[in-house]
Amino acid sequence: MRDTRAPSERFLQDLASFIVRRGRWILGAIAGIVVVVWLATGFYTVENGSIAVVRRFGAISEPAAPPGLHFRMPNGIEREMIFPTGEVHRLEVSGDNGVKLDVITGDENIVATSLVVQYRVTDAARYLFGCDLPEELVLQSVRAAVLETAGAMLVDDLLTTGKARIQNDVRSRAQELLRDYGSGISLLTVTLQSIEPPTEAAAAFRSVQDSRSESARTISDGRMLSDHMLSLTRAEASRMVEEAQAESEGRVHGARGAAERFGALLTEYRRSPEQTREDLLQEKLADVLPRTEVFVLAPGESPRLDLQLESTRKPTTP
Amino acid sequence: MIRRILIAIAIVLGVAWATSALFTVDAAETALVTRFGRPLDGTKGPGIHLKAPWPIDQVVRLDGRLLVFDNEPTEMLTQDKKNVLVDSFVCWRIIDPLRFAQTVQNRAEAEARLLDLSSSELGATIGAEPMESFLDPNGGEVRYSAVSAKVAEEMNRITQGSFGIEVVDFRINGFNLPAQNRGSVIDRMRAERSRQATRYRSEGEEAALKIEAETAAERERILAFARAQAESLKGVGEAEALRILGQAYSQDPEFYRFVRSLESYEKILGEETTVFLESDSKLLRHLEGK
Repeated sequence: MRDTRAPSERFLQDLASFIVRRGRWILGAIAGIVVVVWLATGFYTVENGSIAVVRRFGAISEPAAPPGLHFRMPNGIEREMIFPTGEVHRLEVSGDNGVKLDVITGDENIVATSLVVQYRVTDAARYLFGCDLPEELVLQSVRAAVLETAGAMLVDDLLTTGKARIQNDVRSRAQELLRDYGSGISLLTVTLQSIEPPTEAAAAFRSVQDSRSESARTISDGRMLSDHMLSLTRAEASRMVEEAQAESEGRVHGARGAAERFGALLTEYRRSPEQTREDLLQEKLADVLPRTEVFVLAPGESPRLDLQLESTRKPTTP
Repeated sequence: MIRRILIAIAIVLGVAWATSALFTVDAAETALVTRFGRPLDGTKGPGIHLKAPWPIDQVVRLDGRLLVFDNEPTEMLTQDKKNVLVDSFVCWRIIDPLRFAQTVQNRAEAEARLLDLSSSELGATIGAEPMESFLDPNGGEVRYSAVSAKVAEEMNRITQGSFGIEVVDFRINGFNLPAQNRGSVIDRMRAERSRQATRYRSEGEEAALKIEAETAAERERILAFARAQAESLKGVGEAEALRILGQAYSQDPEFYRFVRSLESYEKILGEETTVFLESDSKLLRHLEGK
């Protein structure tokens, strides 16, 4: 028997008869596939540096699924939400309208400051579903912490040595608040970006700095002058000692010379005493008398002098 | 055929109507059910819940999260009558959706109530604190937290019962002086600084003067020591010289006296000396070479 139908027509007719014969079986298979596909929607992956929060009918069923492949109940029952927890957020904290934050110090001065806060989300479930404006919460908490910290410090400490303490105190106070609020936020760093006196008083603060360095300069100048003076003095002192040493040695040498001369004369004298005396006297007089004026008088004669002798000394009485 | 289609439609509608008895509440929400507009007791938290199907029951969803609300700075008076400009914020959440829905209804309304309430409570609390409560130069605790906690407590007493709102925290986050008081503080700061500047300058001068005086004293000490050393050196030399001479002269004192007397001539007889000699004087004889 010969089939006269066209091939396409034949295929459709065969398919139709197949469906009619095996209808239940096919529906079951389709339903099975749908169920499997639906179940497969329960697989999800979490990338490194992220976590997943799973909600079942809106309620959190898994607050923090770590990176990796996971299974949850299929779509329609559970939903995951991936959140990057590794990310570091940065927030600038200053006053309203971007001006510096004015705070009162413990000694009732005013300082203007601005800070930078870095934070990370450590509890994504709380962060995502626990609070409305997490960033606002960080901002306000830090402001409150700054206020409380500065109120217990002196303006000088705040402006100079107290920076590390402010940063620490602000961080721990603000962190405490954020923990109490259940924000899921961890403060990493609080950094003072600037802290300075209000502009109206800035010049006065600068003049203190100037006077401080001026004072240091005065002292160092004084010290330099003193060092110079003392080294001159030491030079003078050692010269004095050396001169004395030289003088002392000169004396001894002189004495030695005189002693030797005397020794030589004495030797001569001992050999012929009269002659030597005579020679010495002659020599001396020849040496001395030419310088003087000599008058020779007859024996017994006295010089006729008007006794207004000029004395080398001044008269003691007028 | 039409009959079968109608039945199918009826089934679909029936299932849809039945599922309206189920509802879910998100993790960020809190909800309550109203029956014909009248709220039913019981808060519906996150998850799946049952209710009577539409149109009998309806769900009212509210924000279940912690809400932050920043107050505007407000001028207040401390106990010691100082004007201060206080800024604050409120963290709150809806804990009783029913009460909330019955009284304030929405967030804007709630925040308006919270603003009024916090202003009056804060005003009263600040008014009972002297200015020193907020300043401590000795590094102790200042009372911002204490004041804030008190205000939060007072607010809670009212909001929880009346509005179904829990005030999680109230906190002062700004404490300033109004313009006119600020001016006087700035003036005082300037005066303090100029006093400090003067003190630094005079301290510097004082230190420099002290160095100068110490230097002068040190100079005197060094010179005195050197002088003493010099004198003692000279003394040693002189003693040595005398010893040497003495030793030499003691060999013949008589001859020494002679030599000395010769030496003294030289000193006695100078250019301005006039010598009178008797013709028979021994000296003259000497001169004549006899």
